[in-house]
This record gives sequence, C-alpha cells and structure tokens, in this order.
Amino acid sequence: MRLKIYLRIIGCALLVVLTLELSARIEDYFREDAPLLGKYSINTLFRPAPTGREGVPASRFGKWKMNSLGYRGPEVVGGQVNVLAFGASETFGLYESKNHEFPRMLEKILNETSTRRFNVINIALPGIRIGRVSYLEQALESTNAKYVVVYPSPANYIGTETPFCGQASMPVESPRGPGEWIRLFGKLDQQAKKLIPPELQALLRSLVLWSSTRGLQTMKRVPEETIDSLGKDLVCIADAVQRRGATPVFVTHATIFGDRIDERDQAMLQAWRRFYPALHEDGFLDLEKRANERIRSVANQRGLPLVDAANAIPRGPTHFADFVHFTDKGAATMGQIIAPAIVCDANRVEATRPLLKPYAAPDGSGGATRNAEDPCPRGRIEESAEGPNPELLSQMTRILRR
Amino acid sequence: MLFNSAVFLLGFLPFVLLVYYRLPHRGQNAFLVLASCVFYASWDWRFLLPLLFTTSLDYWVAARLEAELVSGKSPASRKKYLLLSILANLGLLGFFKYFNFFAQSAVQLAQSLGFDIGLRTFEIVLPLAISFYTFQALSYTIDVYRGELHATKSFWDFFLAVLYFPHLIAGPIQRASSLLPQVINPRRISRTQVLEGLQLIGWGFFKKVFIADNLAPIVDAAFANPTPSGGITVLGVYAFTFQIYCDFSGYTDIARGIAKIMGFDFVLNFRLPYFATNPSDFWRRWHISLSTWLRDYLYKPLGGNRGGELKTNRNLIVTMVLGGLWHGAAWNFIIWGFYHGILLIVHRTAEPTLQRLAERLAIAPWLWWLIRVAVMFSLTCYGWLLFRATSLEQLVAMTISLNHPLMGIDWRAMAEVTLLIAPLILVQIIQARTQEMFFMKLVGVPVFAKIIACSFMLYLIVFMGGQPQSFVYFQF
Repeated sequence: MRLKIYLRIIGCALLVVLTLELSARIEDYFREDAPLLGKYSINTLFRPAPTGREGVPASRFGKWKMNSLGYRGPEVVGGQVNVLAFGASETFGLYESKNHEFPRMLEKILNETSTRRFNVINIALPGIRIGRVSYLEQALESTNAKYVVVYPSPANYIGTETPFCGQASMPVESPRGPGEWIRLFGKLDQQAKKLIPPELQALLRSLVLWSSTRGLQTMKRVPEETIDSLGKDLVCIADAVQRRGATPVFVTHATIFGDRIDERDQAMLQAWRRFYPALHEDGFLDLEKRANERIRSVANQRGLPLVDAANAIPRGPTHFADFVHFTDKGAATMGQIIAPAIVCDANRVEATRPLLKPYAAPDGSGGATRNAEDPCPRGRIEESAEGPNPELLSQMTRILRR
Repeated sequence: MLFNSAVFLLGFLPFVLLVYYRLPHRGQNAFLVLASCVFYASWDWRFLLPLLFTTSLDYWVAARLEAELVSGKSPASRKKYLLLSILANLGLLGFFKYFNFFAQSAVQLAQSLGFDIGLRTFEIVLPLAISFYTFQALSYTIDVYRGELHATKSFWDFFLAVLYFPHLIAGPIQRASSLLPQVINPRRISRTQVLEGLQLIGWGFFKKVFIADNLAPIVDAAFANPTPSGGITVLGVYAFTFQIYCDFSGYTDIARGIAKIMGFDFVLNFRLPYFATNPSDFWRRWHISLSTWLRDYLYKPLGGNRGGELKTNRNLIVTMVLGGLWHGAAWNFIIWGFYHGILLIVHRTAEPTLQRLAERLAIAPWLWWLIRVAVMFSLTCYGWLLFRATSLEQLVAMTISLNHPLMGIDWRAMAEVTLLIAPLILVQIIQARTQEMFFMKLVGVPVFAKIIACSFMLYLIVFMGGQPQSFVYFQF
C-alpha cells in the first residue's frame, strides 16, 4: 500500500518535471526558434578546435548569434576596414542587450564619425587567454584586419606561470552538465538569481567557496610569474599582429571595483572568486593593478595605441553588470573610449585622406583643426590632460545618446 | 513585503506557517498578531499607530455598546458611542486620505472665484490599507450597535481580526461577524482546505504575475501617450480591464488561499465579474466585500430602494460616488463612481423595456445573454478608462479619441493581450459552465491532466511572468 503511494508521488513528480521541461522547450521554440528536441545551450555556440576552441559558424543561442566565420555578430561586409576585438567574455558580451556589446558599439561609433566604413569583428571567446596566438592569427588571416583591439582578462591567468604564446594548443571541450539536455536547469538558475535575495545569495556563495577551497592551497596575491606570463603573451600578440601589417590597440582591464574595494563590494568580490577559488579576495585588485601596469608598460615599450579603460570607466553598477562584465552603458563607454584610438591612428596612417569627419562645435568653433597635430598618443593614457581629441569624444557621446 | 516578493514567499510565509502549525489555538492567535505586526511594519512601523488607535477605540466602543444594551439604557445613549466610533474612524480616514484633496480643491475653486482662502495642505503620509481596515473596524461597532454581533471580550482577538496579514492590505473586507468567530474558536485544518488554499494561491499568482504584470507595460505605455489615438485608447483600456481584474482578484485569491491553509475562510470577493449581464449584476460579482459593505452600511441606512424612484436613485448615486471616493482622493474616482451610479439607475429604468424587447424579438436566450454580457463588458471597460486616467485632460482626450476606435490600432499588441488573457478566459468559461471554482475538484477531468495543467501554469508564473509590480489596490 505504502509502495503504491510512493510510486504515485514519484509518478506525479515526474509528470510535473516533464511538463515543465516541455514548456521550456516550447517557449524556446517560439521565442528563439530553438530546436524542440535537440541540445540548446550556450555550449552550442562553441566547439573544440586545433587552436583550442572556436565559435560554431551560424550557430545561435538566445541573444548570441555567430556569423558564418564563427564570430559573434553580423556578417563581415566586404570593402571595409576590419577591426578585430579580441578578448574573453567581457568582449564577447554577456549581459548587454542584443547588439549592444562593446564591439558593436565601437563599430557604430566608428562608422558614424568616420568617412570610411568599419567592420568590428568580435572574435572573443569566453574564458580565453589572449596568449592563444594561433587562434588570433587564424582570425587575422581570414579577415585581413587592420586593427586588433586587445582586451585581456587578467583573472584568466590565475594559476598560470608560463605564457600561453608558443605553447601547443589542444582542443578544449566545453564544460558539460545536465543543463545541456535539461533546459529547465538553465532557466531555474537564471530565475534563482533574480528571486533569491542578495544576502542569501552571498551566504550560499560563501558556502560554495568554503567547500571548494577546503584542502586547497590559496594565495593572497598572484606570483610575479603570472604577470610576466601575461606580459610575454602581450608582446607575442603585438608581434603577431604587427607581422601581418595590422595595429594592436591595447586596452587595460576595467572592473566594477575601480581602484578600491568598499565594504559593500565584498559580495561581488566573493562572486568573482567563485570562479578562481585559489586566489584570496584581497588578491584580485592587486592582480588587476599589476596586470594593467604591465599592459601599459608593454604598450609604452612598443609604442602601441593604449586605451586606459581601467581608469576611464567609472566604478559601480551603472557600467558593470557584475565584477567585470559590462552593462549597455559600460559597453557604450568602452566603444566611446576605444574609437578615438583607432580613428586617430587611421588618420595618421592616411594623413592625406583624413578618416575623421570635420566636426564643428555647436557654437561654430572647433572643426577638424586638431587633426593637423598628432592627436594619437601611443603608450599613453587616452584620457590624459592633453587627451586625444575632446571634440571627437563629445561627438561620440552625442551619437551614443542618440 | 509584497505577496509576490521573495522575502515574503521564501522567508516570511514559510516561517509563519511552520511556527503556526506547531502552536495551540491561543498561541496561534498571539503569534499571528505578532506576525501581522511585523508584516505591516515592514512598510513603516508608524503605520501601526493609527491602526492601534482605531482598533482600541472600536474595541472600547463595542464594549460600551454591549454594556449599555445589557443594562437597558436608551438607544440615544448607545447612539453617541456609535457616533464616536464613526466620527473617529472616518475622521482619521478623512484626514489621512482626503484632507489635502479637498483643501486643494477648495483653494482652486476659491481662486477661480477670485478669493484667496489661505487654506494650507500638509505633507501627509497615507497609512497603507487605511481604507480597508477602517471599513472592517466600522462594521464591528455598527454590527454590535445593531445587536447583530456580541462584542468580543478579548482585545487581541479583535485586533487580530482587523490586523490579520492576508487581508490587511487590500482585503477582502472581512466583516467582524464573519472573521471574529473564526479567530475566537479553534480552527480545524483539513487536507481539502489546504489543497484548495494552495490552488487559490497558485491561481492568484498566475493572474497577478503572468497576466497582470505582463499587461502592465502595455497599459502604462498607452496611458503615458500624450496624444492618444482611438487605437491606443482601445488597447490601453482593453489591457487595463484585465490588468486590474487579474491584479486585484489575484491578490484576493492569494489572501484567501493563505487564510485557507491556516484554517480561516474569507469571503468570496469576485465571481466572474466580466460575465455580468447588467450593472447591478456586475456589483454582485466585482469586489463583493466592498459592494456588500456599501449596501449594508450606507445604501440601506440611506433608505435603500424604499421611498420611491427618486430617493432610490439618489441613494444609488450617493453610494456609488462615495464608493468611488473610497478608492482614492481624486476626481476621476468620483466620476467613476458617479458613472456606475448612472449605469445602475439607467438599468433599473430600462430593464423592464429590455425584457419586453427580447420577448417580442424572440431572441434565443444564449444570444440575448451574449449581447448583454458584451454590452456590459464594454460599459465596464469605459468605466476603467475613467478609473485609470491620470488627469481630467487625459480623460477627455481619450474619450474623444474613441470616436475613431480603430485609428492607429496596434493589432499585434491587441493579439498579445488576447494571448495573455486566453488562459483566464478559458478557465472562467469552464467555471461559468460548471459552477465549480476549484479546478482540481472538477469531475471528469483525469488527474494527470490536472497535474499537467497546474505544472504548465507554474511554468508560466515562474519563467514567463512580467516585471514584478506592486498590487494596484495597495494605493487604496
């Protein structure tokens, strides 16, 4: 008798789960044209490749859509200046609305402020270390890009003491889990983040961290070798890009914390650490500072355009949706501060044919006079007092507001 | 602490239920008083002060009324206690809710006549739910005065009857005669009661989270349009008609469900109101606890339908205008109440003619019913335009735009609204046909089909709900 009751309860529970799963699939089918029966997760966007991992051409998941080359965004239009955006998930885009990730915003600004047309090709892959030069070279080869915006994610170097550049690449499988087959898991995860109060989320994270760091040797700060690895990879990238006649544009790494961590940032810091449990919370800001210093110094030594996003993007939740990933506003600001570096460099290279449209200030003053000088600082901070081109910046701001 | 907040659903309610089920009857009551205070104070602890004043005074007044009755004192001496209760309750409500409105209106009127009366307004914070608990408390003293109810000996029992958190914020308005016995006597909780309660909670959340919250942005956009076309007005009003119903009846269902799983039985507040065939039928189906309160404590004491056509019509208008004003201190609520008063009068006058017409034309009963439901639904929709308008200018602009109701209509949005309300209509058709309000009790539907339907509803609530919004009736 009791067995019969248990069986009934199990049967009911199964029926509930099956109905919920079917509902999830029907919703995906109608909303996103997703397959009703096949796999449908973020992993459908990526596949293992000789260079590590690459995007699956013409794949899509939710707001993410790959083009025929396997890069996020629209198809590359021929006859335009190609700019590659190379980085990890911050560049690939996570929380921004569709077509609002920073490469798209950069493209929009470039095309609205320049006489020439640009394709900004988002070749970023979540979790990638920028030392994966073979992947970048492949992208350069297929796109013949003239600029490569390099936005490294220093945290991806935690635990690394040797540069990735020069290492043989191995195909990397995407992490698999029940979410691959059961759509309900992914949706529940998203919903839980919305529903569970932040205090409870912080408590749960502490528990997860506590369990994942048990018996694990943690460090207060990353060793110098880690920063050296990042530096060497940056040099390696600069070489690879310049060998192909393109210009690397280095961008320092920005976080929600800016240059300090307040008491209220602890929960966010803990959320970040969940992905890198080996590094103590205090070590993240230190890593960011040292890594950004290295990015600046490599750009300086090599005379490369540098965008100091770490200093230019205001801290706080307006620009960041989590510890490092941008909101729409953050992505727009990124586009706004990177664009001058590319336009200026393009103007200098083609001095006879300025790319920048003449700009007249509302009061009739201004104009394109600054273009006669060299407005493109190299290896220096873009937002310095003698900054590149205030007119251009304000013009871009207006475009974004529009 | 909204019913649809994570704090309430994942923290407050489970904790309250867990403790409640483990306590004996008196302990349960004491604990519910405490929990209700915490619930109410979560908005602002100062709100408890006027509530405490109202309940203390009404408890004392009721005790005095009872004592006077027992000692055989004259009705005049009892009346003064009742007057004290009415004046104190309505005075408090009037001050908090209506003082600024009437002061401003008086100043504007004086200014338009060229006078400066120098009346000042105050920065008044309206205590949440004051309209609801004032009516609940008043019903207690009036019932005791009328001898329909004995005054309770325990202040805490009365305090709990008013303060009990499921109905405190937006009703249903529980009369003391219905709720007090449930507070005083031990409650029995049966399995059926818990199942019904859970179903009510689920259905309430479905109406609120899936329908009302998804309709809210459509309504807000339509009513934010400074130059509405007929199509925008039609869309906005059509969506608002279902938003307000699902929002308010959703809240009521959740409140009734929570009460049910604690062993309480709240009155039914909505009975398929958009299936009403005439204005008086509508008010027997919409916000039943308020309309019956107004009927018993206002319309009937005014004379009701005794005393001829003219007096009846006057009583109807007064009752409906005051009912409109109860919703908020704004002219559009007064106009809305007046509009419904007029509808009731016109219906009273025209009903015999309409019946004769139907008989003469020999219209099939089902078609006659359908025509009447459609006409009443349209009249109700226009009423909601009066209710939702944010200014008299908007009201006029939107009304004029209805001359061309299809101009600039967004058919896609209309289809979206229809799709959102489709499950509601389907369920209500079943309810209307079977007269069974609980889906799980429907005979002839296999259990597995009920489980699938409930699971699908759960999915729509959890994953396809709109941006969480406050309950519309919280402002009243």
